[in-house]
Amino acid sequence: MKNRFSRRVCLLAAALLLPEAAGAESQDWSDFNGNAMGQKYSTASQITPANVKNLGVAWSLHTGDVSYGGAGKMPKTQWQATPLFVNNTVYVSTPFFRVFAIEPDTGKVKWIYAAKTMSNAPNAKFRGRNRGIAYWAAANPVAGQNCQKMLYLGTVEGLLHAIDADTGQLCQGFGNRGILNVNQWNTINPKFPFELNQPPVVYKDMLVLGWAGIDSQWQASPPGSVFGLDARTGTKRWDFQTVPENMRHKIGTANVWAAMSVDVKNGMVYLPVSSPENNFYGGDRLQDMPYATSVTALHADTGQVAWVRQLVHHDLWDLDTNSAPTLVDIPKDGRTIPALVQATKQGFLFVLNRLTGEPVYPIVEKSVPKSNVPGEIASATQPWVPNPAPTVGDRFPGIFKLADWAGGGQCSRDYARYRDEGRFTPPSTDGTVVMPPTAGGVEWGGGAVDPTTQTYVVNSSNLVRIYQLIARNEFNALEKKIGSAAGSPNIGSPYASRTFNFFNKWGMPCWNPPYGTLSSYDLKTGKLLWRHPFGQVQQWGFYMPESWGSVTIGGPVITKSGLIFIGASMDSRVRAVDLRTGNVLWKHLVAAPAVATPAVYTYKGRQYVLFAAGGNNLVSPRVGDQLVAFKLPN
Amino acid sequence: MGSSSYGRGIWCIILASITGLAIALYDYVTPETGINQSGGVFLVIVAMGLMLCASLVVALLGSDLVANILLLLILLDIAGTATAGYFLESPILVGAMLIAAIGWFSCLVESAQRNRR
Repeated sequence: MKNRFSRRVCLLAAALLLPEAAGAESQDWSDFNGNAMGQKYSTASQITPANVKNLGVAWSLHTGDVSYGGAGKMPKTQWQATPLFVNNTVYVSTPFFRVFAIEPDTGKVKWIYAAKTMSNAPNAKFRGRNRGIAYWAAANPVAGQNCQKMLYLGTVEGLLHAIDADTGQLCQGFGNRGILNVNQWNTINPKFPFELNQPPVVYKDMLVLGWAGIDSQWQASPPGSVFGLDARTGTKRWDFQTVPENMRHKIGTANVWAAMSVDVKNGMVYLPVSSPENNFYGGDRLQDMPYATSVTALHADTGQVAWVRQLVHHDLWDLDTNSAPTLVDIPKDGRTIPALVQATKQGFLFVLNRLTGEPVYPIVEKSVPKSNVPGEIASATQPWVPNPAPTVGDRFPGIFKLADWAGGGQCSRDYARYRDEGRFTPPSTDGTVVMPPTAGGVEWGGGAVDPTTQTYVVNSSNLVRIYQLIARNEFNALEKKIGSAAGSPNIGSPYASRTFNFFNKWGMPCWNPPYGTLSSYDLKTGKLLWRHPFGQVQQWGFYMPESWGSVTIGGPVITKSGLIFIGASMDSRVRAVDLRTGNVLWKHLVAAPAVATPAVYTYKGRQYVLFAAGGNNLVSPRVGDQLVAFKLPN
Repeated sequence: MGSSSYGRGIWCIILASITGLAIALYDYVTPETGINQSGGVFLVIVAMGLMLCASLVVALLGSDLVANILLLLILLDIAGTATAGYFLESPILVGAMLIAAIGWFSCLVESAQRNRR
């Protein structure tokens, strides 16, 4: 009797305490990539392969911050911001440079911060695009003092806004009354302002910040730089220059425009460094540029270089290293290797020891074709990664017969007159077939890893573009005649350039599908576990067969329960994929392609998957302003 | 203007084209469909409008050469719209075209029966 009574008391106590306990359980998504290690991994396990089919909309919010383009209007927006869930709040920034603080279970807006920026104007010079915000919290917060938790929002004109995460007010102690003018350091060839599209990465009480710019307009554009800033005040602690000092006034970029990752324990920050100007002709930059198109490790406290690994020598293809390296420990041959995986536009997955930069799997230097353009000396070899298997093949995948037939043989005729000798065929004046081109391969979303099983997942596009160099005199004449359709001027270089997709006259791809894939690898061996076409091409509303896959932008995330969540495809659908098999288990239509990497969080015991459906006209003309959260039914 | 010698068949096509037109108009203006404001749906709207007009003319004209030509064009319209519906992933549109196809075959049967008499 006593036992039964005790059991009842225990059950009652458990019932009363359970919601409290559940409420305390909270799994954050505090960084653009889930965590600073760039893993895009959540320990949430409520949504499983067995129940994911029941996933439904928890809440949906339209921010109103979207431009559909059109004559006299702001260009179409690109909303690629991964929302954060931290401080019991969902935070997301928009392409109009507003930050929304949102209740995580209802979607109700708590507050909005609106940055005053030129891009809010309908005829703004710069496109409205945004890839998110960063979050920092003081390790020892001072009670009653504001700005102990801060959000950082960058704008197109190089201003970094620091916002109190609790109130949405500017933090007056940061920069100039809450706004740091990063553009003050834009002193060499300042052809454009530093565009702070990608949020900084947080390391202890520091922010590490790169910037984006405008490609292929000027050869002497701003040379790449990265800044280490005090998270509280914005004071610059160090900067890192990517272009050799004697070249900075004549050669620009090699900037870090994508996300970075941080190994807090070892005090390292990892930089994906892009390619230098002129993106397609290097006759004026024959000198060695070791940081260009590299992954570079810096000591995060000082900005000093720990090691550098160049991924493309003398880059002539605009193959920017474009995503945050994924940091993961790999058990191999009886020891644990502190590794990083650098996904690339060229489809190679570089797996390196993140402390030394040495390859975990061999990198081979392979002979590649020579340039036939006067003044150009292409690198004789390029780094090649046979294992893990590249996400993109080494050769042109063949003419797509349907497109060739529909275009009256145009695809075959054009292909015959272009130069194609496989990977790393240099651009030419006759036109070179480039696969993968500047759009990838793997785009800035990068890959995700399950750190418990070392399973790595990455989406990749199979695109073919034609690169053509145009001699300066010829380009000037052409530009007078047809304006910007002539191509990119690359002012200051002997060659302008024109790049275009290898399509027939109806806009059909001239190469064989699939156009996009999702792949899974075992990092312990480098073995490809599975690869499937991913997403669907949508043209004029028509969905093409699933076996064709889709070009993708934005990365996947992995959950502990063995699911991959990903938007990314042209068809405006978000999907859950079985990590074990690669089979799509659930999909849902959203307002536009969800080109932002999703966020996964748990709040009050409920797991949510959050997508920003904003679109990017590289993928599809459809753009939107929808933030949509999914959860299992009650 | 003579009265149609096609009975239920042509009215079936008329009903299907009205349904198809309504579905396509809904798809065109509703963002949640994922095919709103797309060229493909616009094409279906035009095709359904033409099918409606043609089937009304056939219903009113009765069976003569013009009606037979229009019926042939309606068949092409049904096939094209059903294909479009398949690639637009709109099963309701495909269903409407199935009803139209049934109507079209009914017209064929009615025509054959008439000729036998």
